[in-house]
Amino acid sequence: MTRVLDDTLYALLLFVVALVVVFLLMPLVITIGMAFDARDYLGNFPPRALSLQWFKHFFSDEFYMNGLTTSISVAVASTVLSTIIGLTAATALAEGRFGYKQALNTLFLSPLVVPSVVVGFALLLFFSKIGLYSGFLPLLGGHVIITLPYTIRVSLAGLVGIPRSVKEAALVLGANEWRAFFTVSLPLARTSIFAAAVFAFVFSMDDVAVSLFLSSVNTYTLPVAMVGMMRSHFDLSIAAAAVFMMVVMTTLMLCVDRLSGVNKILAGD
Amino acid sequence: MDTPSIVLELRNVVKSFGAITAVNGVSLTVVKGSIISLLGPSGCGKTTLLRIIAGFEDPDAGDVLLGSKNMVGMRPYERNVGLLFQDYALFPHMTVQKNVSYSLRHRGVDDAAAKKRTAEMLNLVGMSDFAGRYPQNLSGGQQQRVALGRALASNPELILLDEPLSALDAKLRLELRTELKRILKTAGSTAVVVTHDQEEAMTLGERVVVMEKGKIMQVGTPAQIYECPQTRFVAEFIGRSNWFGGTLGGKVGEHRELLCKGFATLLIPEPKGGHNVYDACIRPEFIEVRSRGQAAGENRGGVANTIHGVIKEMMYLGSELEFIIMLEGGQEIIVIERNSRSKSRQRGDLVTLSFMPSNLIVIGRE
Repeated sequence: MTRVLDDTLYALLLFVVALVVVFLLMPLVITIGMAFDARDYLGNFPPRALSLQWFKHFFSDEFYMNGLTTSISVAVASTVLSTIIGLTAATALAEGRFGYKQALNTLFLSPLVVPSVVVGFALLLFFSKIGLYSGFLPLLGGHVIITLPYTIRVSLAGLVGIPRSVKEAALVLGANEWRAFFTVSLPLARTSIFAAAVFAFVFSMDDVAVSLFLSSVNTYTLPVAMVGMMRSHFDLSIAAAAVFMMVVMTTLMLCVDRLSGVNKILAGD
Repeated sequence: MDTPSIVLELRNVVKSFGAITAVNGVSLTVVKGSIISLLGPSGCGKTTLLRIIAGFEDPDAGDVLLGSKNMVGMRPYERNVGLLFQDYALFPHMTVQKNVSYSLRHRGVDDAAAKKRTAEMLNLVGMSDFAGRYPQNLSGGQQQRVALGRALASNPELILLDEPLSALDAKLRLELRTELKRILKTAGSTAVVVTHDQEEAMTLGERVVVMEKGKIMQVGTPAQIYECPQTRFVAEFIGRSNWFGGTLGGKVGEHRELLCKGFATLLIPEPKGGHNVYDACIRPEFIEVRSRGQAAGENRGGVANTIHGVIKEMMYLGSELEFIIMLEGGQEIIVIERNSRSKSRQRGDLVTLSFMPSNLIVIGRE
């Protein structure tokens, strides 16, 4: 009797998992399908013929390309800054000899908890207060802030994974703390640091909420351009843009996964 | 004759962590070329002492002299001390060669000299053929050798070994014990071995320092520590022991009577100190076993203590037999006999035990 119950529950479990998979994949499948639609108007799924016209449209549209250029420059700059600042903060948290480390750690991760709309609005107020209205620098600042929790977290995971004895070995063998960091800790944490950089890049490219507040007429990111496009004249170039973003992000994430395992990093150990 | 120079001197070293005093007034000198063992149970302060000598911890009070320079407040890289870590702590991203030459690169040795010294060290530890390998592709014993070569490369004034053999399996441990001693002697190193394993301490160390609760209990050669422990703690910590407690009786020849309540009067060597109650200890291998009624064997002429008992448990260990014997008073003792195949003993056999008074260790009860 109990066996029947167990089997039924197990079947139910598989069913729920299958539902979740379908629910997660359906929107992606529809978006990808529609991006290759040969029709000129927004028709029903699935498309009857395939074409690359929406991609051509996407890559030749000045509005999109301007957004893409901004997105990439902001993402590259914020990745560099966020990785360096994140590594510095993580080193302090891993090696520092001071109190309130836990509190500091929580503070560093707080942008994860605060809704990005709030961060965006607050930053808008802050930047206009100091005379920096929208534009590249505010966008960069915003993106550094939203990517920092990831770069700190991921590089910290790499640094704390280094056995204490290995770092002590470097010291007792005659390397000062500075050299021990560069010859032992840094090389041993390099995969994590690389992963941190990729995370920063991906989350910067992906952001809408903060960018929406900090964009201007001339300086806006690709996701902001997509939102704008959706409001003004909705067509399937948005799907093409989405597919393009998806391909870039997935490729990057697969790179990191190959190197160190995204799941391991997200689980935090 | 010139006296050997002192490499390490600890003067009244004290170190506390919060309410716990890990090291409580330790003074010790180590002369050039000697190997000493710091032996004690976990939490006795030996590891803290090692970390103080290496420079990872600063003592709250006292001095740490290396050569004749006071090292208190000096960082680890400002001293020339080698450390063999318990987990070896090899750099996983460097080859064996790079691991061994690490200290040379950071202590400003020029490239040619460093290369020569690295080759010498790899040869000394027998790892020349593995110079290009990464640590994760080496066995535990090989990693141990590389770690030792790395620690010795900068020719440290003193080398510290933290539980050097505990991470290895039993067979490899025996092999490396001899090898470790040979390497240290060849390199002319002055070494401090920290261990909780008495066998490791006695085989590696020419002198053994027994520690408990942050204090040194006794310093001596392995034989002195084993045969003449000065406290019950040392006697019980090193080797196995059987204890008989009693009050002093009259003098019998050169011996003294110990009146053990309930089962026997033992003859003991004349004890020191004016205590009322004494504990006498006999090591299991110093007790001779014979079947009840059988005449005493080659009893080297002297007076022997004789007690009776019955075999309660028997363990066959190959080279020796271990018995738990219940004495007439109900006390149980451990006896070890060499396996000679001619004697067959069984559980329940009545036996007579004898041991020489001179083999008894007598300690006054506080």
